[in-house]
Amino acid sequence: MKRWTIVLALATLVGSYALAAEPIKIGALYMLSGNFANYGSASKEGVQLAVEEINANGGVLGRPIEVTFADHGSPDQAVREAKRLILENKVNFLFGIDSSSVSLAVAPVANEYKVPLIVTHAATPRLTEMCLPYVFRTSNNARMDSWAAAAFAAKQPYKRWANIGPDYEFGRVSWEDFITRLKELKPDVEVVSEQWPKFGSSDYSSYITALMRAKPEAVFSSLWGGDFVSFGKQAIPFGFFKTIRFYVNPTGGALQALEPLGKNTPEGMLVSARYWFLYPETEANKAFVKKFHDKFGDYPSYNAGEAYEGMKMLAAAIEKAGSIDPDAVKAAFEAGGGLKYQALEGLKWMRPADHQVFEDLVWGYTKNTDKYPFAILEPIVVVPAKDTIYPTKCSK
Amino acid sequence: MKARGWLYLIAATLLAAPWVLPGYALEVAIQVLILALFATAFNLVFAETGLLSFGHAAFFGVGAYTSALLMQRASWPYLLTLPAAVGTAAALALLIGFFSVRTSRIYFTMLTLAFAQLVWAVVHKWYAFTGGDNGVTGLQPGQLWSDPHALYYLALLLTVVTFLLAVRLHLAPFGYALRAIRDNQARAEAVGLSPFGYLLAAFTLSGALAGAAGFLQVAWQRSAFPDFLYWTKSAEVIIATILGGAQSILGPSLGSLVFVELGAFVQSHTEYWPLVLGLVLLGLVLFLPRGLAGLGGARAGD
Amino acid sequence: MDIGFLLLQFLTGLAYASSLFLLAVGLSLIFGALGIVNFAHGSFYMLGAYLLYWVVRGNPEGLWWGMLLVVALGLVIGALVERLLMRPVYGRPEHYQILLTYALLLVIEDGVKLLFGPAYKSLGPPAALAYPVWIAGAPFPAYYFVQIALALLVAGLLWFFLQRTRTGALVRAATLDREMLEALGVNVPKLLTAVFALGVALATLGGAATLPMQTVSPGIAVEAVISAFIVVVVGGLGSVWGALLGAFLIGEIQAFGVLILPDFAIAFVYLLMVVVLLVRPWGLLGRPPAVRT
Repeated sequence: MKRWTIVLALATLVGSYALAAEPIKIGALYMLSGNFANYGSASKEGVQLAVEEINANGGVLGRPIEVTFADHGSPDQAVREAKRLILENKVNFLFGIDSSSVSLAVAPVANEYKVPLIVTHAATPRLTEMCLPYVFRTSNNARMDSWAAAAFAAKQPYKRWANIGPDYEFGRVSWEDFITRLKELKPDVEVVSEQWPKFGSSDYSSYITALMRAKPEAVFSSLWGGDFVSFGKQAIPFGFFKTIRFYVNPTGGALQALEPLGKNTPEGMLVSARYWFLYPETEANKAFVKKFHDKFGDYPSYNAGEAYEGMKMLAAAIEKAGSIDPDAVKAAFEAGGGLKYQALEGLKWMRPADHQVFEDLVWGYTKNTDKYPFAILEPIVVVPAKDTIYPTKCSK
Repeated sequence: MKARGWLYLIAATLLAAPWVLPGYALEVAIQVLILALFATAFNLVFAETGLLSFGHAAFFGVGAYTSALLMQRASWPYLLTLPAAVGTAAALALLIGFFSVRTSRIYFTMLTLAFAQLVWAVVHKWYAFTGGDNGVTGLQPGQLWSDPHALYYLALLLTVVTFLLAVRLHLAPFGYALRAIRDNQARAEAVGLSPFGYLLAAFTLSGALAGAAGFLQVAWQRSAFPDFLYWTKSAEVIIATILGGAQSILGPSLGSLVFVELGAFVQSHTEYWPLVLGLVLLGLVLFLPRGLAGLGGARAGD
Repeated sequence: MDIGFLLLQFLTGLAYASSLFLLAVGLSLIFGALGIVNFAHGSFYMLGAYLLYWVVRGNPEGLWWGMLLVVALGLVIGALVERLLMRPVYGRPEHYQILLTYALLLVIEDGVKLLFGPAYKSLGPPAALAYPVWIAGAPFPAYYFVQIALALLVAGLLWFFLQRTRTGALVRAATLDREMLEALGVNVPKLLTAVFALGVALATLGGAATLPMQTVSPGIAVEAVISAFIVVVVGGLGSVWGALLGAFLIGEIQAFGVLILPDFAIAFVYLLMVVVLLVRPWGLLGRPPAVRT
């Protein structure tokens, strides 16, 4: 009995019928070790809760879902683990993936074995630009975040823009997409400074002073995780947030970063969250958050929410396909102009050509309140999906 | 005759493996062979000269990237990229070796580490050429080499060739010269050996063969990533070598077998592989200084 | 460019340099006296940050006594590691020591994850230092002055210890000829334990001192040890002053490199390392190694 093979079907009370049926096997790869294990463990919790609920309701096609979790680590470990899940565990689907480079390594392998891969976190636009027939992404990617940020930025009166982002693919592409889009929407903007600290830097002070010296009115940043925390802590005493009038940061609404910052979080930053646990204020979402909190002792972070919804959306696709055959599931995702799935945070639409989900994007301004020990998003602002639909070269 | 009997048995096992092992075990077996090739190459420098390179990941990685980029950008057939991968790895080893082999042991370790990190930084940043941290993905090594059976035999062939080369070198005057330099450089110089030339030649050959391991990895993984060149990858080959026993000619291969199989096994059960590996290493250093090969008292090389 | 801004930028470089110095000096000290390249050095640095977070229970005002406690814990941990793990491998080839410290790196990484969880840990600066000081009309974080002062204090104390005390003289002698010391009746094993413990304590102090402006997670050790290596490779392995000089150069090169070519700010540091490696492979203040015998 493998420790990490969690046969959640055992927890089922309703699904005695489902128990009898052969389970649908899903291999979930997340970053469970190393520096971003906090993200991976949250994603894993989202999947666990989704599967528990699905199986409690009789499973999918009357069959329970059985998830095997694996730590994807670096790309070579991830490819080996993917092969293990495919060849040894004989999984019907691969699922998850936190790191962008790992997603790029695993996607072609999954595709070659014709095992559909559903990505819930990795955000490099390249993944869905590979146009692989058996690869799907149920969360938004970095380009959509950048376009959403540009949509906000275009409405601001500010013309002098600057960037600070981690010096690797994600940071570079986020800024490139943002500024290109912003110049389309508002041609008179000007870039006064670009700063590229190393990904995983501990010290941002020189970058902060250099950036401030260029006197930007507004700043775009793609720092995330521990980088975002360190940057925030260092930027405050430099008076950064007092001199900058507008600060926009995709993925800054991650609980992984907001919780450690606590009350030190700068207020008024416009950040995105993909999924934010306080939005929308529907009964369904409140019930999910409560259930999650009861089970894991924490609020669902954006990637936990996306992992949860990704699993539910996959279940919907299988249900619609009426089988777990890869081509049938692919057709179910693509048919009728693309699968539309009602997620907690809104409607997710799978674009048939490149298998990228589009949805309204949740943003908000950081604010410290008495209700939570960390900053929350208030007010929340939503970017409609149509503002983020970029063209694709893939064809169906 | 007894030794020969063992040899036949090992050969038969290695040849039959692809037809006996189930799918995933075969995939892991290929990884074992790749690391065995890498470790045997690494040990050419380590065992024979006493110099611990902490930069061999650079040669592995450059070999891998050469192969990957030629396949993707120039549409070279996979097999033809082998000489190129070995060649670029050799050139890089020549360059790094030129600046490193003259220094004393611990400086050699630090210098090779520093140079390898530099190469890693270049690969990681040079988006236009290497793809940066996006890596080179979606590689198609062709119908034949996409089949794990064929790839296994290719890896086996290259590993055995490297292994025989290592044995040959060990017994050749070249090997004696290296060990003479290792044991007493001043005396070696006194009898007319040029340590620099010998050490550089050994280092270059070792780097070239590490490039061949990188060449195999891209076909197995269908992609190349900067992680191949990161210093923790250099640590892996050192661990595998010492785990098996650097002073035994079979040590690096044995160590690779244990390292890969143990890693695959542990990682399929828990994410705490670093902890397990760390404890294994502590036990190894404190209680088994001659590696696994030391258990049987085998010193096939000497 | 106005002088005021250059001063500000110089100070940011100095702040970074001071954290690099605190991180790297123990590595150099240990190498100098024991001849050991400690791959777990970054792990002790990380451990220092976790220990501070743990002892002050998230209260930033506990920073001062917290740091003292962390240094004390660092001394104890360092002494224990030296006694129990390092001592058996003295006199064995270097690679056993490297492997041993690498094993420690792995164990500590997962160990803190088991103890503290994978989430980032953060601690603000004490309230009195949470505000900027005005330098030439620009705000500068007050806490950085503490960090800079701490680095200078450590450098000064180390100078005093190494140059003006008998034990310090013995440590310096140990870097040159350990057997001679033994022959002279010095209790060398005890001395080595003390140096190793001191080196580890300095690493934990470094980690603790930077926590108020940074964040800690289990993976930072691997990054930290590489940064420390770059500092000592530039400055010279085994040289305390080399660590100071290396940290200073890297801090300032980053601070001013950002102004000149922001796109390649990181490359400047690597460039410095290459130049040093090519011109003086033993580092700026290191001693050229003797020919291998």
